[in-house]
Amino acid sequence: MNLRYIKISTSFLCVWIAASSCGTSNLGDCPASNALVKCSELSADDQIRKALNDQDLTAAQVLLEAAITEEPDNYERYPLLAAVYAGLAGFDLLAIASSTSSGGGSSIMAAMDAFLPTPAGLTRAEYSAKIDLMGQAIATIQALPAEYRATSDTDKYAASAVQQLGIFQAAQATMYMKMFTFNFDTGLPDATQLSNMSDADAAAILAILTSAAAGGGVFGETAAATLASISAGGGSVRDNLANFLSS
Amino acid sequence: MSRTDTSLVKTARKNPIESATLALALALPIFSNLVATTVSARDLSPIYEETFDIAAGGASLTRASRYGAALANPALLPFSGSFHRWLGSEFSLHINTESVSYAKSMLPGASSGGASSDSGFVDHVFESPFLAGTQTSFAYLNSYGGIGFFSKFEVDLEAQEYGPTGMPTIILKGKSYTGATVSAAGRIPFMPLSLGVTGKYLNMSEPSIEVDLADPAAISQYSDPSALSALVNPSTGTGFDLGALVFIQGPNLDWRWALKIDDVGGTSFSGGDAVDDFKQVVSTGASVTFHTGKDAIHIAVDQRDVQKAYDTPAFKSTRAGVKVLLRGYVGIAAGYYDGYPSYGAELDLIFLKLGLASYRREQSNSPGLSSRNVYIMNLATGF
Repeated sequence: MNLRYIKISTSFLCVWIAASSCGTSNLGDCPASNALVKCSELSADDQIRKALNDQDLTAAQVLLEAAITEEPDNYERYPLLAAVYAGLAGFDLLAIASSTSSGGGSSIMAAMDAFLPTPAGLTRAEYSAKIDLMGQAIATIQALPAEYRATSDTDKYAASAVQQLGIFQAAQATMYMKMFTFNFDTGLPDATQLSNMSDADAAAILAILTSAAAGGGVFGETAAATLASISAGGGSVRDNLANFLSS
Repeated sequence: MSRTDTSLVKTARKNPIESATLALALALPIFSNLVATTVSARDLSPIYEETFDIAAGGASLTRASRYGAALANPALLPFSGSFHRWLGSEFSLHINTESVSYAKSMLPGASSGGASSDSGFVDHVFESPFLAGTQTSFAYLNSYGGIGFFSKFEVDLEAQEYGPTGMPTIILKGKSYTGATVSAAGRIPFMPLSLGVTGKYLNMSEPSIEVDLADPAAISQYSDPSALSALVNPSTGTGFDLGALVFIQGPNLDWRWALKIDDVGGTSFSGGDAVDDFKQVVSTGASVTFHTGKDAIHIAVDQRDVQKAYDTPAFKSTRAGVKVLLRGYVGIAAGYYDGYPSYGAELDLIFLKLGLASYRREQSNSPGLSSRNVYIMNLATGF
């Protein structure tokens, strides 16, 4: 072998290095791109994790719903699906994480405002759909057996489920209330919209707030304080809530 | 870069340390502090691996550099071309690509003022994972065996907006390995075959923490330094590796076949925080080397964990690469490590060896799920 072979090999190696430094494909990706290395199929949980890491919440929702249908007893997936519903509703999980230490404001509206989607630019139906998604997040956590959402349980999933339930209930109550203080035609806050709030709406909001307060957690105290402020009105549930929201 | 087959003329050459090397070396205390307080679950990567061997895809069963030979395959030791093989120390710094600019910003005199807030670091981790580590060794090896000491520290931080529990989570994994090895090898019972054994004493901790950022209780739990220090309580264990190598040498072409058994019978750990025992792992490798008296091209393929002790997927268990050694003082290498391209170079200045490598490591057992682009800078002094 003479130096010519070395030069050719070195040149080949340099081209390989330059070419291979581009892209992020793996020899194990499926479908297999080569005959030498068997491809590694992603498991259902790996596909879910990949979708979550890629922030592809729609794909994650589909995958999680299918996985839960197939294995309803795999309870570790429920909080993930709940978080995905909340994310699709526009709830900013990252912002809530950075503010948990300051969650004890006097008003649930003020405490939650930074993490929730603004109604501006949305139709009432679109905003209502987001509230429904938050409801699905709550329902998903509530579908867990009681022992999987207990703060006394040392299981990290159970403790987190309780946190999530309280946060999502506070979020849904706030979104619900905001729907009646916003004019979707003008895209501006408008207290006159409170006239659209029915007794049933008010009762539903109070019920969600009551659950959030009872659950404790990050926003439990705030929900309780808000409930106390609403109840101080002395009138009907609807009137008390309307007075609170218009103040 | 290995000097195992040819007696290559080495030329001294003065080479200034690059400013980037210095900058990252200055950042080391920051990483060391992180490692001291948090550290990860062991994956399938070796406990010690040389930079140039990583650049060549980690296919080191049939050719390994310096102290790496004792742990890659002790049967390599007899084929060093001379009695003396290596006496010296090494230091390497590992950092993932995405964190290089952040590490520089933490240095004194940087535009950010050299002080980075905790929130800034968390923001960075949410944008891209943070991996940093060091590896050091001191060893003496000859063609019949040798002794060595090594340490390896690594911390890997990953933040997931949708963590394992659904809420934003910081996942912190670390490795803190220190150990000593004693190796023996010989060309027995006949010349083309060599056998080697490396006994290992290991002191390891591999804590792993997941902090749910929406859970104040979890945050406060890990705000206590004593809770963190308890996570790095090391475990100790002893074990040994066996290696065999068939080496058919020709004037311009060599063939090698290797068999390696890591942790024969398993290596158990005691004390500390329950590091998982190492399972016995059987690996094989083959290579062909084209060479003159001064240059060589080494093409190698390893198949790790052939008995699927860890159920290692093919893209991680197959390692392949090429090393080109020029004139005894330059080496370049490329390969596939964990299924991703790897490459690097090394400069041999007689008593000083400088190496650089880049590779992508897959932290999970699924391709593309949790990978890290890693740069390595290596400095070895010895001969």
